[in-house]
Amino acid sequence: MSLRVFPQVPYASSVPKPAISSTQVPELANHIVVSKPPAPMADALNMPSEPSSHPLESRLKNWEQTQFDLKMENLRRLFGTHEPVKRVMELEAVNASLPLYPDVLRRAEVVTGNGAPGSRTDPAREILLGRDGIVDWEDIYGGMEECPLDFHTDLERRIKI
Amino acid sequence: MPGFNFDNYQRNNFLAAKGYPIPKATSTGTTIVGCRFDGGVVIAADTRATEGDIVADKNCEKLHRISPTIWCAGAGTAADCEFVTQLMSSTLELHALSTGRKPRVVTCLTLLKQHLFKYQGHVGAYLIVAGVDPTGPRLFSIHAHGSTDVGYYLSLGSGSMAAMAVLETKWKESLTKEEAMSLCAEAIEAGIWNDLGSGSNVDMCVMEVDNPAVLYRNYRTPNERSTKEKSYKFARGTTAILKEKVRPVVDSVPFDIFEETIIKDDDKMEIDT
Repeated sequence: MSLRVFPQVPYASSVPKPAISSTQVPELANHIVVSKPPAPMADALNMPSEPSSHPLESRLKNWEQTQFDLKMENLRRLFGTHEPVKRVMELEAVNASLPLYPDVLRRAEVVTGNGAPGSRTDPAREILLGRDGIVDWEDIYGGMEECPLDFHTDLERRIKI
Repeated sequence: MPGFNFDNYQRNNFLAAKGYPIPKATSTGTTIVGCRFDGGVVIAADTRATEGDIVADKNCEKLHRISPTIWCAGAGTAADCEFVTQLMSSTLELHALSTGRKPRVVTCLTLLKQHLFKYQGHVGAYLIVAGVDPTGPRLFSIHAHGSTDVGYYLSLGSGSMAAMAVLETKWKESLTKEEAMSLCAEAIEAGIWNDLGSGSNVDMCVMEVDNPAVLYRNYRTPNERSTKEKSYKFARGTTAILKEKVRPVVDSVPFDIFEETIIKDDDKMEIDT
């Protein structure tokens, strides 16, 4: 475990080429049934799981995770292993209850399962992460793709009516 | 996702490699200063906003309110300065509500530098943060990469050298409020005259201990537009009416009731035939 303050900079020297052959057309999602707008093509091409060639992108993406890891590592060195374990377990408990939330309360899905920051709108998570007093761009400018469904559509979809 | 969007980064690189011109970095022009005095702090800014070599706004506001007693002068990208300070304003208010104490300038400074450091200078806000809190008057400056400075007098922006020359020459310890105000105004005026990116008027904000902050919008206006030597307004009736036709707006009016009046006034103007 390291005491890294900011994410490592992966200076990629080449950009992976997306494997799309001319005869093979990827299936398009039926966005009328899903009632969500189609995902932008750039998301698929830029491969969000891969480090982008722009250094700032991976930095911003891994920023909160790095800060969280640093905090946990500091707590481990100060108080022992039990402290981060307890905190991550608390976060896990909150995460486990997240699927029960309606969409209007959790705007962004939890990306990672290990208690890393993902959702910004769930108050329980925000309190556990110490972010309940912080306002960031994400709290003000919700993108169009994060526009929540209305409660009834959400519930109908969830219990499969 | 909100925030920065890197979708076109690879495309832009590809286009640049093909020889398409990529946009160049433009220098931003501003002069902002801050100065401490006995029992308070004063910040001042010019009011010119530029887009490259074009003056975009002759009387813009570069002083932003973060909290009632903490104000901030911004140089660099105008939108970044505006929104970063609004963000800090919200955060500081939340913080004050949760702790039940008055917000401190150092808190604001730390929040700002952490935020700016995260974005590695891509949020182009160069700020002078000043204010009074329970620990007294405070004056700081922050650069876009997150480095900060403390001082009794500070200047930032493209006109900072001109302003600093004035501050270095005329600043002395334990200034009075009036002296500090005139010193800051003079420093900004040095920027206005000697830096091409700065101009127009001087805005000022004075924060005193135990007093509400006072914003002096257009504290000095050395560049007022003079009146034109001649007036080019013509009196009514200068141009003769050659023909006047009155048509009712309603559609269903019979055609034959149209009135047609022709005023002929031969001695007023010759008509081309």
